[in-house]
Amino acid sequence: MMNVYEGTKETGRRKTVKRKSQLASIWTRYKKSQLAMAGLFLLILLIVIAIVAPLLANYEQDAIKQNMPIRLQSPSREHIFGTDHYGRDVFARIIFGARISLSVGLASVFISSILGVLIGSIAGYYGGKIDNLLMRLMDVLLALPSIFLAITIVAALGPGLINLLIAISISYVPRFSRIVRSSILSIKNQEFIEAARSCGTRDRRIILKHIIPNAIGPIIVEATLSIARAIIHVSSLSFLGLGIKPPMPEWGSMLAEGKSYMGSHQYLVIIPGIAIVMSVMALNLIGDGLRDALDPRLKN
Amino acid sequence: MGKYIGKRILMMIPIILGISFIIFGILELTPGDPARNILGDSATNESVEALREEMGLNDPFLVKYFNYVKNALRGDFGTSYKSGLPVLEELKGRLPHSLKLALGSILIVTFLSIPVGIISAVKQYSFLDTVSLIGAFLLTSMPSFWFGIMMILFFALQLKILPATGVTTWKHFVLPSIAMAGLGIAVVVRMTRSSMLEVIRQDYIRTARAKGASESGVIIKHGLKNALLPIITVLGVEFGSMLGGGMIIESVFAIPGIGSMTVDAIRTSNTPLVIASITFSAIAISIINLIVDILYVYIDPRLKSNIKRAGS
Repeated sequence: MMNVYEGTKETGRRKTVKRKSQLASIWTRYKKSQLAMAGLFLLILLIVIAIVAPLLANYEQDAIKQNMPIRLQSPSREHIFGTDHYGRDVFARIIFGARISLSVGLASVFISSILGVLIGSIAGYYGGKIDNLLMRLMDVLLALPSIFLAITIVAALGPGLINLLIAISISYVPRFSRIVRSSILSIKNQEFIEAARSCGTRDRRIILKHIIPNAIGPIIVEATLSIARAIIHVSSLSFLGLGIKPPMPEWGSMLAEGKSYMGSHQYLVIIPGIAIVMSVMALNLIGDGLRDALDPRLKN
Repeated sequence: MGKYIGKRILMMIPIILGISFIIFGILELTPGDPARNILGDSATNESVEALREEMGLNDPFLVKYFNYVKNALRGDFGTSYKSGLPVLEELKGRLPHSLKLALGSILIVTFLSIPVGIISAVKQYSFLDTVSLIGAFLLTSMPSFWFGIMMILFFALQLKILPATGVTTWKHFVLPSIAMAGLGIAVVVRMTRSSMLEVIRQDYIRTARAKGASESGVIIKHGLKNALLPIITVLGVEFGSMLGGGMIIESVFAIPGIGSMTVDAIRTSNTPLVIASITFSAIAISIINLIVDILYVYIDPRLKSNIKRAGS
């Protein structure tokens, strides 16, 4: 229905008015949920901490450099989260770890959602043989839990930040493409797409301008929940020694290192875990809130 | 019915072949020379080259894959680079531990989550419902390995009532099974609750109550039976990922199962072992999916006529 006569000044204005009001109504519905708002505040807090981390601690001095004389000190005024077995400040490592977890989570989901949207929209829009081929491939990949695919890729490429990013990105593509495909299938036969097509709009434009904006809701929800999942997977792989390599301060590898001292220094395994749980919880709350806000019908 | 099962088994073949092809392809990218790894740095280039030829490492990719599948069908998954034992032997030795762990977890998930989910649905918005939903939410936000570590801290180191590592008695499997069950509990509680909520609003539930059936009879016989399909589905998915997904939990609790073996194999670039164990997981998942599909028919006889119609 909309966008058929786009280009003229008047409809252009109407479009912005409409888009704004839709965003505003989503926000109004989102705001209603206290839990979703709590998640949002928690995430903003974590992002702010990650951004200002260099003001709170020195990366090289506090988080990386070994300082054996002060190793394994319990939390105190000087080191509020204590120090680890190399005498590094746990607080500094946690806040710099937030940078790694959040950025790897965001980046990998960004990459996988773009690839997923690309594959899903091509499959859904064109149908037929392309659809069949792409979706059978995705089915095969979906038959394995995504963490397996990620582990296989890490096994081939070796551990490290970039390889981990590649592994997690690829392993999330099948889910995204499935979701995108199904929402595109439900949209592509509606009248406004037919109208756009009868005006001679090119396929690429129809997909990018008309179909994807209408299918974006489920993609955003899946993306939010996927970042949460990615944070868990990054820390799990690093815990196994297959992810981010020491001495980089990653929460999962901090847990793996702290595990040897957990009998006497519990804080070494408690604190990084709480950091993971808090960020995952924030994203899960936001994801659930967005799902309800974007599609009020789903709420029971 | 037999025809349906046969068809479903045939459908598993391309999926398993596809997965093994993809895994084989990805692991083909592994850097390093396995022949060099086996013989060590002191070996001459000629002997390394001879071993490469013998192992078929110089063949083109498709030939290698074809040979692999051919041998695998005869039960030969290659030999472990590290121990020199056949891969199948290594897997067999480790399978019992992984099976015990996965079975323990799925039992915990089933017998804890379904009752909790039912109570949550029947007493919606009650205190119990809120507690179970908060619990489920916490479990989904917690990495399983941290859940495991926290339990070791509390039950093994603090209270000293359960062992933290090892596999000698059933007690050793309690903590790892709970840790592995964590996420599954959350998923199944939520699914049971939402599925039951949908069912208990149906007219036939009201009819059953009106006839004077006892409340527990209504909930179990009329309610749960109709709500069971989606619950079985997620139970199947969870069991599948438990069977193959022991990598993290087995590492935390030092259980010598297939998962911890896979992690070791990845660390040491022991490719035949990696391929076999991931393919094994894929096969396990496919078999469980098949069992779930067959269970559907027993739970919901209406599906049987659908299958007959589609099959004939």
